[in-house]
Amino acid sequence: MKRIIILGMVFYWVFSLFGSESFALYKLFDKRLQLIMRADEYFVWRVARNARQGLEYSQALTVWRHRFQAEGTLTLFEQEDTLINFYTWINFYYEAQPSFNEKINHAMDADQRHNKYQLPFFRKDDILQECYVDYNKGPWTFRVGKQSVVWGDMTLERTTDVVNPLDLRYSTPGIDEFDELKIALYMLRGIYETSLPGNIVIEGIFNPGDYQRTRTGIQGTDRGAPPVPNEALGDMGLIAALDTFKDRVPRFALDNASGGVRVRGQLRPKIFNKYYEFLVSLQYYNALDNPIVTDFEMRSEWIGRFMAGRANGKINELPSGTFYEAKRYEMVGLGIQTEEPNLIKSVLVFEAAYFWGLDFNTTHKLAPGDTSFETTGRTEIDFFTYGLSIRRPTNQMFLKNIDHTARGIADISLTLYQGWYLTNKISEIKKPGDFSYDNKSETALTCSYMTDFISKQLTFVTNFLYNTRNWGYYTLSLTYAPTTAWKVTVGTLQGYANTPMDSGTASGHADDRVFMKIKYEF
Amino acid sequence: MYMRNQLLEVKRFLRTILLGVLPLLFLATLSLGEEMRIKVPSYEGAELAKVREWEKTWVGKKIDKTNVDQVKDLLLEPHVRIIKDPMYMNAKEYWFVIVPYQEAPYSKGQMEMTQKYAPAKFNEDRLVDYGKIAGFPFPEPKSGIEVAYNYDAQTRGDARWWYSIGSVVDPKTGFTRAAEMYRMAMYWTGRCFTPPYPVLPNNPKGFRRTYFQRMKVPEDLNGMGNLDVKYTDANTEDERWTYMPNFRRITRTSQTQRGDNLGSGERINDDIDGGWGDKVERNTYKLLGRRELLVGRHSDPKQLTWPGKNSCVWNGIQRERVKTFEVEVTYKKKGYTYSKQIWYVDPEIWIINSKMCWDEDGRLWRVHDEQWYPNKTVTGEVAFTESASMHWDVFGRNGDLTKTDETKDVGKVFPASKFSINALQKESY
Repeated sequence: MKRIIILGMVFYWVFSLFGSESFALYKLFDKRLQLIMRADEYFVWRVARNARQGLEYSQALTVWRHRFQAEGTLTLFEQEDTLINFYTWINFYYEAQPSFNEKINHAMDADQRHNKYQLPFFRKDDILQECYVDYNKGPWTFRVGKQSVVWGDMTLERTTDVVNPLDLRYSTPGIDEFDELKIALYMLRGIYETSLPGNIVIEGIFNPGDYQRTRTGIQGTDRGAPPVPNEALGDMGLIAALDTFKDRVPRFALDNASGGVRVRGQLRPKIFNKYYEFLVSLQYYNALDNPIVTDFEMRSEWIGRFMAGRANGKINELPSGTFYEAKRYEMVGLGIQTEEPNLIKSVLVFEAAYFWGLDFNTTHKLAPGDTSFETTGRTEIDFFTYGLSIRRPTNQMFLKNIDHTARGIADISLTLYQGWYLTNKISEIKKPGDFSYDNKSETALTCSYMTDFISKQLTFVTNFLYNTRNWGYYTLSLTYAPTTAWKVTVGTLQGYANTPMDSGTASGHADDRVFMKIKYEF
Repeated sequence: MYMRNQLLEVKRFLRTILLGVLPLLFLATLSLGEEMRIKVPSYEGAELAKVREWEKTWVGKKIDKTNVDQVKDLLLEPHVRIIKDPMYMNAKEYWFVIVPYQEAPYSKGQMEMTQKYAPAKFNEDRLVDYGKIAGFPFPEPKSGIEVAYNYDAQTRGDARWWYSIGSVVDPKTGFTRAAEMYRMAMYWTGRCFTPPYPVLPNNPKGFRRTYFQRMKVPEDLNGMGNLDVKYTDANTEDERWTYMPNFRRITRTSQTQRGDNLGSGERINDDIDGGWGDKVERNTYKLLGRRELLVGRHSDPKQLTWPGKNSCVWNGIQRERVKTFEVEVTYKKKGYTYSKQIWYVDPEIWIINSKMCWDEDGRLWRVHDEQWYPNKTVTGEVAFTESASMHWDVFGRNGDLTKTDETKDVGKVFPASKFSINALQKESY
């Protein structure tokens, strides 16, 4: 297998280097079919922070993803104000690392390795990144099929953009394109452009039951928890087994349906004798939550049988059903975007969201000051969050002195995020992601800096995130794109965290990475 | 006696007429002879005859390094230099063809509107209000700003759709980055080609011009859309909204980016729309005089050839003699991208044929060569629209090329929804 992969890659690179010029956009059948194809290689090297991590995690090359993507737009009908297009985005990948890395290989059983991690057959349909029919007639637009919907304008944190879950198994936000991280869902989407003042657009989405969980790293892999060495039962760790169980969430059922409405329009108030153009969005969304919570009775039964199976070497005899549940919640969101061209000369983006009825497990600390806890029950909590972003290009003379073509302009973006759990029992709540155990609120600041050199052949980007609980991360990347066909990105992702409880989001406990991505457009 | 007195009175009256009124009439007749002309061709009379005589020698001739010295006075210096040394732009050769000078027609609307409104009066802010007038406000410009306002008044058919292909080329390495996009533009005020003119009804926000662009190539920008809105009110800032397909988001683009490079090419955001896309009032203008140049304004894009996919010139441009207005342009605020520009403005079409730009250190930096081509509008008028262009960095040795692959719907009144923010997301995948 190793030989096939290595020989295949060498052949592909040689072919790409000496092959024909990139055509970029293929127009076929009298331009009715437009086709774009690309391939990329993505490598991640992981560096241990300390000796213990070196034992737990696989070091050195931990991701080597081969990927081929094709996007096709077929015009089925076009006449006057009617246009029907069929759009397909195929995404095929092969994660080769388990073929090279023993620790990763042994962290999963063969079925998991192939179906859930190495190839896009997790749900048997992942090869279709998106696939839908787009019907446009006058002010109406309908999109039917597997698609992604973005309802939000924030970048590093998602405030109101909650429709599609993310696939974080082997992609790096900021390195892979944002829309490549999203898990598209089967939806019906309708958009109506009214003739009301303010160019008001009404948009509705209905998902008849395609519920997908956010896909996080699999145990033992680059993005997952540490593998368990010498684990019994086919090398399957407890966490990997739990992951398998979590995946049994029903895929298509009307009980899992979700939907929402968004209204967007423009306001043009006159402030201090100047007109300002505001793009304003209001949205409502009703869906099953992601992440999920634990059903206790089922969990006890499941763990009992798991442990028994583990003792007997029969891990496959797990109970049917699930002890993880996704609960329904509601959300209202507001988004405002404008530019202040006179005083601060910046583009301002504000977003706020209120979530009703988010479900959480309640917990009990095993000992004061301890980081471990036991789960005791469930509760519903409301949550409010907002983000305020200021983006401005700035002139920086030192950059211009480096490269005459660079124009000395750097694009700087600063964002403040805050969120509050609206409960008096915060210490009993097991919170996901960004929040630490005892914190009712969180505050995070992000900064993004981007500039370019050699007529934009070379782009430098850096992102920082700082959470007031003293955790965060920063990324540096350099992209070289000398031609239409080739693009090479190298960079690093460094995390830091004050406490292990924060490390899940900060990736600060163990994860320092260096990455490289080579992309070729056919 | 009485009769004699009466005769004397008549004589006095007649003398008064002869000495007073007739000279006034004479002066009045003279002043009628100086009536403003609606359109002044580049050449006429003896000058035109002289040009025709010159054309007998040169029309149809290919100008390359072997004979460029004979017409070098009719070219900007960087063109002469690159024709002699085409490898500077990574081309084996750089040549063009001379075609006869053809007077460019005005549309019926341009004639009518210019007749009706010219010469325009500057108001307190020295602004020309396109919400109230149309046509060329200064058919016989006496100053740089009057030339600039005439350029600003050219609506190029009022509206059009066109598909552009192009490349950004690094001649030093031969690396090429391709770009393709379709574009739509429509003027809402100052219209002169398709009724209703001069203004479109239902324009509550006071749009002057709206522009929509959708990228097709390169693939990572495929689907990216830009919407530019220019307002008739000179005190209202222009707007740009951008749809990024890889984020699926619409974002506002800061006005402070106007001085930044447009994509990876050799233009800044202000250079779009035929040479200058921002408000006329941003600059000061100094009319340097007239400069005869060989420019492409009847240059058929289908006749252009690309000497190599790593080169940064078009060969086969059809150039004709035109006596351009040479205007020195300086941005009013300090710290701007260009310390100085010189525009060469066509005296009949009022487009920028060429321009040269100096950097902040006073070095000649960029040379833009814009070619134009007459297209039929939906009402049968003739409108000059983009044919091709070359934008060179003659200091850092870079460049980009564009060519119009298709132009249609010139003069069409597009639905307003084509220029809405929602249109950015529509038909984007």
